[in-house]
Amino acid sequence: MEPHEFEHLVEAHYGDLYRFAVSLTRNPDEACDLTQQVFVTFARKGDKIRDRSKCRSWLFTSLYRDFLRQKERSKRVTSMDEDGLELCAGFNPSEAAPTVAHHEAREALFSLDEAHRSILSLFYLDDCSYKEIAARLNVPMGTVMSRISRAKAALRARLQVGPQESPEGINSNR
Amino acid sequence: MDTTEAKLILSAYRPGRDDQATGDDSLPDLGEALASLETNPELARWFADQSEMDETLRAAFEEISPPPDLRERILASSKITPFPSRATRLWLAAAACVLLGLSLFPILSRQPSLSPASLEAQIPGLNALHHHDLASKPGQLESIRTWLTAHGGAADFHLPSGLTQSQGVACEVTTIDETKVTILCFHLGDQGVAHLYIVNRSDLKNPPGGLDPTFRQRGGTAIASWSQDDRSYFLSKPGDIGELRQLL
Repeated sequence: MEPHEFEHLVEAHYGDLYRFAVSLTRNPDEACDLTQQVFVTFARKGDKIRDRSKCRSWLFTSLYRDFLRQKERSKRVTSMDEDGLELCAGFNPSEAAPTVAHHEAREALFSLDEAHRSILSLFYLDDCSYKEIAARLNVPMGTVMSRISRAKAALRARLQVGPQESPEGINSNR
Repeated sequence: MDTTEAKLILSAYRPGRDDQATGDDSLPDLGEALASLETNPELARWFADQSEMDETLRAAFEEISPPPDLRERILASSKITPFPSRATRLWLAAAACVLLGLSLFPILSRQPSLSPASLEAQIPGLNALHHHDLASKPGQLESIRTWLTAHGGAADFHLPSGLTQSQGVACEVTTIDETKVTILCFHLGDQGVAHLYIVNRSDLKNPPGGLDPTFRQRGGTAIASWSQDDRSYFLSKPGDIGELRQLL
């Protein structure tokens, strides 16, 4: 692969890959490491991907697998206990002022278990089909729709137990 | 279509994207679910709330910006080198052929890339995430063997006695660290699910020595490994080693 082609690939995908990595790790430093590593691996192996339209899918799938291997090596336990979460402030919000509702929505999403976080991240973040979501997460196609539904129900429950004084957005009808 | 079915479909609906999808990429019965919104006010209110939540989440994701130096770090660490010209590639290919001809024997003998320790480290994650290429009903192991034969899997497997009466078996043939692995998934009723990983002995670095199993505890998963004939086996089950022994 030519350097300019690789650079174009990085430019096109690193932002969304980083966001996906953040949703998985809930830690910006680890997300940076995962994102960087997947491109290093791609630089080594990417020439084997003959169909360039598959590169994005390969990157997301590889990042997810790297995350799982890393999780197993470090023997971290994903817990539903919010006190145990390693949520990290400072996800470098964009220059537009982040709203309270967006902050609460992110916190609610990051408090879900890993299976729900990963599928919702791909659902919201990436323009991929259900077949691609199934392939990237290595789950059967029939599972994708039901898992999205359960994940959203869990997310709604988290948002409903959030602060009642939230001024706008999601909690405004409750 | 009842409200529960409609909510299941509409939970996964992405307006603008999914309307255009076809075949495997499309949501089943989406049209009917959308039509339900016009006749079911409660469903319509639910969908409006959900759509608002979806928009908020998408915007929340957009606000997560990568660190300013991440792109440069990626490019610096990836070290892409320019692809050689066609003439250079032809010379390189010719030189590679000469080298291959001179050193044929060591080049042809493939070195195993997967070790038992590496496979066992990945097993808890694989148990949770692998998919089933084929699932059979109780007592239909032959259909599993037939399928594995057709798909290059380890059809001649030997099962421990504790697995022969399972309530159902599913299988997959996959690649782990460039090594072909057959995965059998056994439903044991109240005892849960056990997974048996089967690898050619010659494809492993330092395969298990013989029929006497070696036991390891990997977090909440117990693993037993052994070899028989040309195959190495890795049996895993949530729980402790004592429970796993009952299957052997």
